[in-house]
Amino acid sequence: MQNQTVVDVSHVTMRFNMPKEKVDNVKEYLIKALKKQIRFEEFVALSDITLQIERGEVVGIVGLNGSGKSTLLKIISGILEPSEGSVRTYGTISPLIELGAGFDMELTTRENIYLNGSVLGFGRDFVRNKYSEILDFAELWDFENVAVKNFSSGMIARLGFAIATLVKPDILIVDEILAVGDFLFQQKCEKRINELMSGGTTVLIVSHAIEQIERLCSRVVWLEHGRVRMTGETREVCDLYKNSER
Amino acid sequence: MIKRKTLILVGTAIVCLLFSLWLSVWQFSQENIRNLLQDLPTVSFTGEQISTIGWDATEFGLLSVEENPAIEVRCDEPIYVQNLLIDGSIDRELTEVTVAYTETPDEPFTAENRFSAPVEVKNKDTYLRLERSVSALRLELCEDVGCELELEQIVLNPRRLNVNYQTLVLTFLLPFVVVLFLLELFGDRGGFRKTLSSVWKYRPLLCDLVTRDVKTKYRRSILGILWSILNPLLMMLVLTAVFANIFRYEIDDFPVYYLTGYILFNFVSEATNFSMSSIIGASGLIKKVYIPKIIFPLEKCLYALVNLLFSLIAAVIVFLIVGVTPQWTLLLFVVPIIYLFIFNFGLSLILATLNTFFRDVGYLYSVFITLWMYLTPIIYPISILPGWMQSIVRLNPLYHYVEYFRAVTLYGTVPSLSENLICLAYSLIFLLAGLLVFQKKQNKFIFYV
Repeated sequence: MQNQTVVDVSHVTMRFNMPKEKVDNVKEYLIKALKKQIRFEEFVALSDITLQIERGEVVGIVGLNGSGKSTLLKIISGILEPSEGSVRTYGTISPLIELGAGFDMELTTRENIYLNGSVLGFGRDFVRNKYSEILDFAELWDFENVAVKNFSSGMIARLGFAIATLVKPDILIVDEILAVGDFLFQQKCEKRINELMSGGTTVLIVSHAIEQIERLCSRVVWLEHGRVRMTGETREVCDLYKNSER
Repeated sequence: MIKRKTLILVGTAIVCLLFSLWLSVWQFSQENIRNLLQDLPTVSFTGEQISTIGWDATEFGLLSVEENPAIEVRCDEPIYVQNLLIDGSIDRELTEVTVAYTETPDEPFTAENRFSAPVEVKNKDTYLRLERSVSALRLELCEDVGCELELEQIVLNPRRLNVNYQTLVLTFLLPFVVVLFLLELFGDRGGFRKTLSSVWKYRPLLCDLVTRDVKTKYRRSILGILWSILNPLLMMLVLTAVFANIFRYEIDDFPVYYLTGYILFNFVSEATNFSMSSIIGASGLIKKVYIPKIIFPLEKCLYALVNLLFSLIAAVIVFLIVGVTPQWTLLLFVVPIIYLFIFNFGLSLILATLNTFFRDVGYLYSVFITLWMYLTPIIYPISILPGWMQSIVRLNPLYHYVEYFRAVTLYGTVPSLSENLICLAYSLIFLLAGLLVFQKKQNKFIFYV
């Protein structure tokens, strides 16, 4: 069970076609197609990434802005389809890419918990059983029947995090969401992630907070311009990364 | 080596052709075959060989009715007539024609030798089934005024094959479509199988999204969910009051006739319009979480279906007020709704895909749907249209669904096998096209929402 690959990224290349001008109506499209003017500037976000992550590992991904970190996470969680190569994942994935995606602002907290639970692929009974646990964690008992549109961004983030980490997923994907909320909530989130990790969950973290990566991760992947610059022990990679920044 | 898929497709094509030929030629035109085989004499009458009574010939061939109009033809000796063809265009749909006949040439028409012959209209030609020996015939076409006939000829025992091309094409495509479905379901690629299993996995989400839509529609109103029934009910009562008094065609229960069409058309228009923007509307989700994207148009179609059910409840109330006697065929109303739902879903997938890439489609469609409404016999009976318009309207899939629905709810008849096949073929063709288009393009949606 120990050394089992749960995320297998092999030779993934992601290209975006960036049209020079935005063409989104038929007339322009036809005219341009006739004149053969539709030109795309190809933008390679990721090129030939190969990466294996084993069960129970906590992998940090570091890199400058635009180095393809978020794209990689989106490909792993299935939101984007890679242009080339393939990604295989084994087990359930909880992507914490943005908290509260899929909340309907008109609905109440209670209704949103069920809705968001099903967005993440949980059954209704399951959410019902965990219902009070969610409200406990999010500390929103007083707002059970209030429409979410009246919430502050912190409250939405709390609720979103509580629902997303409801189940112990096999793979947890965290994209800089820990930057939201006050420090108490951040501590709480980190505690929750630590709990999940101790239970054998594989975690992928993207963060610019290098201390956080150093504290949590067992292995770090350093992306640069869509390529793996380096992968290895946390301290080794982080030291080099910090030095290169300066 | 030839690919197995190609082999299967070619094989199916041959089977399809045979099947559709069998259906359209044999199943639907058995009399034609009998005609061909039985070697009955064919006699045709044109121009002055046809005498008209009570008809006002305003110009060549064009006859308009005054009172008790009739057409007469005389043969030299008695012949056995199985079918009679009135070649020309009639501006009204006839259901039966009273025929007076004589057995010997010079005999006068008598009251005993009269009977009603059923009329069949196929490809704009009007056939009467006589099945007896005659030497002179008088066709009393209609008792009331309002029928125009452009008469070219009258043929006794016409010998020609009547093939309904629409049925031919659709029944040809039907098994083909089914095989493509099976290939996509169980074949190596299994595109539909993946879609199906992902939809099945996310069915709680589907339920939740539908309930969300139903709940948020009338949120903040005092009556809340009650509006879902009250709104269509009030709407229908107004329409009934209006149409019971203004437009009166020669249709019994005109409000009911209108409402049955209106409800179904509303279903199509809601489902397609909602689904069309469903992908764009769900951009927040699509960018952040993995959800099978087909969920969104499917959810909107289901939502429209829920609205349709509310409307049906309202319709039943209206029908009780108007006083329609229900027939047992009413129980079959589910069948056209299932056909229509599949059709809707297929069309919605195509529209949602197109609209995601080109927002113009939404504006074009809003114009198109108005045109579509007038091309569907909702506020008028199809018989008031001139012949060429009728054949266009018959190509409109919605016409078949609406007529099917009316047949079971209003007329109390069970539609024929061919009607069922036409409806099914339209549904499955649209579903297949929709699924294929959607699956091919769905990975690109994220760049356009």
